[in-house]
Amino acid sequence: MTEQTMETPMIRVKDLCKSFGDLEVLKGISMEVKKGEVVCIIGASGSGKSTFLRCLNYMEIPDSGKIYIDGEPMGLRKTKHGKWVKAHSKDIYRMRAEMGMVFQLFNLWPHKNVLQNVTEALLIVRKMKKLEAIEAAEYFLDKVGLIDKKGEKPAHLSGGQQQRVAIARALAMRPKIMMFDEATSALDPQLVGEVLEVMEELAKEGMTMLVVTHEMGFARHVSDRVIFIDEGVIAEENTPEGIFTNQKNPRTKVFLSKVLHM
Amino acid sequence: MEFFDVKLIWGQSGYLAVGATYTLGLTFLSMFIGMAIGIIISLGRMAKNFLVRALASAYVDVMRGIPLLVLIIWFYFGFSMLIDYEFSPLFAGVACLSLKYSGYLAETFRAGIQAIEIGQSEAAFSLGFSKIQNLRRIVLPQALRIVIPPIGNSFVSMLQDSSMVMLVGIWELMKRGNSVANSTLKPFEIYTTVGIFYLIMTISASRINRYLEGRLKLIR
Amino acid sequence: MTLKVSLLSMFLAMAIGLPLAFLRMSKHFVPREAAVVYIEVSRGMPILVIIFWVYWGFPEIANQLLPLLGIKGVLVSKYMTGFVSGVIALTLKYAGYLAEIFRAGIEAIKMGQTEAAYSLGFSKVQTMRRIVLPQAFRVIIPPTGNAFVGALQDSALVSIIGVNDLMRQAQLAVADLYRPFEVFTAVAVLYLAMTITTSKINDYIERKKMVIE
Repeated sequence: MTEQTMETPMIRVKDLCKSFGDLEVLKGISMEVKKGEVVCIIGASGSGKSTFLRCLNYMEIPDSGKIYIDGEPMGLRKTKHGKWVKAHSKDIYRMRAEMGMVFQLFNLWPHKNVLQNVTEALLIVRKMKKLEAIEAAEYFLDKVGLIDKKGEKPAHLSGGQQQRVAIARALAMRPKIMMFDEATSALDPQLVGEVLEVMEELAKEGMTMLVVTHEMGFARHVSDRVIFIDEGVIAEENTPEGIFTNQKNPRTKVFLSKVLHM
Repeated sequence: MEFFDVKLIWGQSGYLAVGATYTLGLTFLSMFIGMAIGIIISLGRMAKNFLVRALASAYVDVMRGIPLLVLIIWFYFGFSMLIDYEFSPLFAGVACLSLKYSGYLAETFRAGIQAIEIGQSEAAFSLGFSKIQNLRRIVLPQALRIVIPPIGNSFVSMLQDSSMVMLVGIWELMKRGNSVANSTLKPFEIYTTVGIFYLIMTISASRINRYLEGRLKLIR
Repeated sequence: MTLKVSLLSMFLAMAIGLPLAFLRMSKHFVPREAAVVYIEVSRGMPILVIIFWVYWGFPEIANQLLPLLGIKGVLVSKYMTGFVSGVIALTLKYAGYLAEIFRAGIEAIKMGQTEAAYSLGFSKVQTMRRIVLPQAFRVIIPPTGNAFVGALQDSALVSIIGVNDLMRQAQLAVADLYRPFEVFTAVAVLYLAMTITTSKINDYIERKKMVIE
């Protein structure tokens, strides 16, 4: 079940559904992300794209459907009798640690400084030795260009810097996948660039990335594939060129003409 | 011997209920007087004169810091001895409750008044309002909304604290409960009943307070 | 003695208040509502009633209960000293207050921060211990300090049932000297010294905390 080959997709999702009360947010989503691929998810606010991302690492519990991360089912396990039941918490925790997530509002911990924000999970979840954790954290802070801020409290950093720390925090866990949930939406326009640069660099290094974004430039020039989610279903899946110049679905065209001419 | 003597409770509840009405009356009266003293002290806390300010703030610190029980005993047994005058129990009880709570209330009023921006008073002065007119027409009506929830909280605490005036011999709920418990030798049942009486009063008071708080927010 | 009763009760009240706060935030109806009832009752009940209820009521009910359970010849009132009942009563009362303080502190931590921890593979307990509680702690300090000032004052009431605390000693001193005014004034000053010192320490910690942030 968990045998992995080059062909095993990093993420495989089958018929994922999720409702909040009466509101059906995801109405059966199936998709795959190959290793090393960069996939952007676009769509209007409220279309369910953030919920989709949050289901992948079980921050939201899907109502039905299956998720496989690198071949391993997420959140579910098969009993001896072949029935699917809820997985053990520790397996969910372990798999989450393999999946980096970057949030719209950074969500740094204000009571810890920049370095501690990055080392915390290494120490607590990965059980690293302190020196080892600091070394790893410093490596990734250097990578996002913030090594000189390591002693600062998050509140003293700009939004762009905070988001880069959040990226370093996720990267330091050496995840198999990085997921970005509108990572630049809360930033002032002049700070968006520095975060996108870091993301682009990551993509070039071959990181598998799933990016929910409103940055059409990033989707067009950095991603390998673009998925347009509309009203809880995948309305179109296409190459960046295809999505932006030769849409298969008229709704994609309507959406893009709205966002691109804002 | 009955395990939990319900009949006894039923028999005594009328007597205790009368005590509860005394408790309520006592609390309303002391609250009223405490508010009057509190307003004066809060104005003193904001006075320009240093001495007035220091005195008012010392008063607040003392009243808030001293346990009510100590105040009651000091007042009823100590102070009356000093001036060689025997206070009536009702006077002593009400005086102590009002004095103690005037400290809290003064701070509540100060916070309420200071929450009104200076600019509003300046606007009133520029239109020729006197200080009193400004206070009455501009500041207090607004401050009232801010202070009502904390006043309600004080009322709930005072309902509870009024149980201590049993010491000076007012026949309110606690004193009656105490005497019934002693005479029937059923303290568990009686104090449970007394507690339920207090709970009915305090919980209804906080519900009313919460309701008022919600209403006041709507107006803003 | 006053300090010992209040310190001990505060400590026990914290130990009960924290789990109570978690019950209050529980997703399940029964534990949540049970905690709500406890908190409402303990907050709405005068401390004096609780003290009397424990001191005189507990032995009474125990004397009826224990024989039913087949335990005989234990005189509960012997163990229910003023000190013990004072501590039990103050603990019962303040556990409710502290539970609400703790809950407010924990709820003040934004959702996003716990989500970030979960996304990195933290367990619920790890998230609570490493992310939520250290921050909640700071929100909790000032109201806990105020609760302690309250407990210090309420501990005076324990004297009514005969704990050898400040008030009680004062009453004895009055009986000896028959100078009630001087004695009770001295008692008042001592209490003031304790409560005002506690408030000032509390203010200081609060200011310190602001600087850190």
